[in-house]
Amino acid sequence: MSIVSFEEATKYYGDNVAVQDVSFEIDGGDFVTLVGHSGSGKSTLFKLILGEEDVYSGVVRRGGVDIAGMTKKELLEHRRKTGVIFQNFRLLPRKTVYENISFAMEALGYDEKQIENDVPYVLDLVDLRHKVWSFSQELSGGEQQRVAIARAIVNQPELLLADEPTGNLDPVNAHEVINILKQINKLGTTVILATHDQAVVKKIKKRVITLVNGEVALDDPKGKYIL
Amino acid sequence: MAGTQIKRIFYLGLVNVVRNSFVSFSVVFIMTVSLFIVGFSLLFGQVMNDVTEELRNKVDVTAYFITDTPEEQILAFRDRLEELSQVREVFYVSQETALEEYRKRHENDLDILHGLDLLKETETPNPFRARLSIRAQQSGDFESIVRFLDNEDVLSDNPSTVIDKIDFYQNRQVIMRLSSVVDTATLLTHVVIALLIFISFIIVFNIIRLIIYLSREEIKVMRLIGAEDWYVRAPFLVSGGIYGLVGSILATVMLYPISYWLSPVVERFFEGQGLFSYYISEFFVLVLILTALGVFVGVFSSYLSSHRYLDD
Repeated sequence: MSIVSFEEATKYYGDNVAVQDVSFEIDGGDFVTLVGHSGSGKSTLFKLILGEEDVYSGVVRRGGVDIAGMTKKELLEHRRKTGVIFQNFRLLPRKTVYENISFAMEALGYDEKQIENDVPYVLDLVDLRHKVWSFSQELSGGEQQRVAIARAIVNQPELLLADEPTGNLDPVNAHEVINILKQINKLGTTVILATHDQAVVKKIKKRVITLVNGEVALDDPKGKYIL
Repeated sequence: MAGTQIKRIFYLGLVNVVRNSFVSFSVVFIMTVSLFIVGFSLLFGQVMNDVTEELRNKVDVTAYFITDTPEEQILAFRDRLEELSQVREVFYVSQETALEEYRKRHENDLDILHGLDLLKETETPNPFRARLSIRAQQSGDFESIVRFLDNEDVLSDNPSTVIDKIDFYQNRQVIMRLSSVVDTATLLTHVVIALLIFISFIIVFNIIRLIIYLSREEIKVMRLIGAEDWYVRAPFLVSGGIYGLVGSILATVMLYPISYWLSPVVERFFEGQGLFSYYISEFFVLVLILTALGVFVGVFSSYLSSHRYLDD
């Protein structure tokens, strides 16, 4: 069964079409890149997956369940199984690296022992163990993004949504972030990456869905795209 | 599990306050000023209450009874008066007490005392009349009390009369004016206090709202992580409570020197107890009121402000 599926999903913001008749399926364990210019609908697709927005028509499913029809509790569970990474990192200000990551576990009710075990583990994965007590605003852009990745994966999500995670990073940091995402995918997490950066797309060499003006223009399993 | 979560919430609330030091300082400052205004208004209101109460006690209607009215009849009449909703209290002064009071008032006037002694050998050894002093709930009630007395068939133009005279008619103008002044002063004090409290808390509410507005991104991220609404909201409520608690402590501390300093002025002006003596005698009540109010406003403002970012 697919982990995420769009069936002729359409979303308007006022009179403007954000996405139109979008249909595709993503299987568990896949690494899929959504490519498109700004305003092509990539972020809207993520919002629909997270249940932040509802479709105008069509259906978006998570594990076969219609997201728009989920109860508040189901939506909460769905979000807990989904990690999110944003272009602007969206770390909690005035919190240390450790607290930013541990918060995600605390909110879900994990006990202290497990938090003390898991936070250093994910910090090792993103190579930031040495910054554990730094405050988020003391970190570089690349480091902040790696903290955001650590936060997104600490609860071992089935699905990871990365919305332009390299958008604010230099090529070296961007390269590192992509490598980390690939590593996470190898561990079994489904990754959906949204980007408009051709260098990133070329590096991944996996399935690419190209969006143009809110519509799927190309869906290629070997990584071909239109930009 | 629940214990751990509660501990975490309190920790997060405290951390919010400490790490957000400038904003926290601003809120605590505003909260302190607001609670100080409330505390000062309460103390000053107490002084005003005393002043108006004293004035109110000076305003009464006195019914004088003819000299041979039996005491039981007067007391029965007093009981009936006390049942009236317009009557606050009734004081009975017997003939003997009236005579004693007169003697005491003129204890240095030998002529008067001698005159009173001479009366003892006459048919009316005590020329004083028993009386009932009646205090009304409000100034407007005097008219209806007097109407009641009028309708009771006890006035002296009736053959079965017992009441000789009611002084209301003689002092009507003064009584009404004084009562009206007292009522207006009381009302004005309460309105001013309520207005100050209202304005103060509108300011506090808006400051807290602003803080939560600034944290809207944080709230959004917490929700996307999958935190439950109460877990996102609770640390803000704790922070709000802390602002209120610290504000109430500082306000109480500030009231000490201010009330001490202003006390002599207030005492001189109102000829009553000063602010400071109320501060001391009502200290624990004051602390309780300010703390409860501060914590309530902090928590409630945080609750309302976070509401719009959480409940969709």
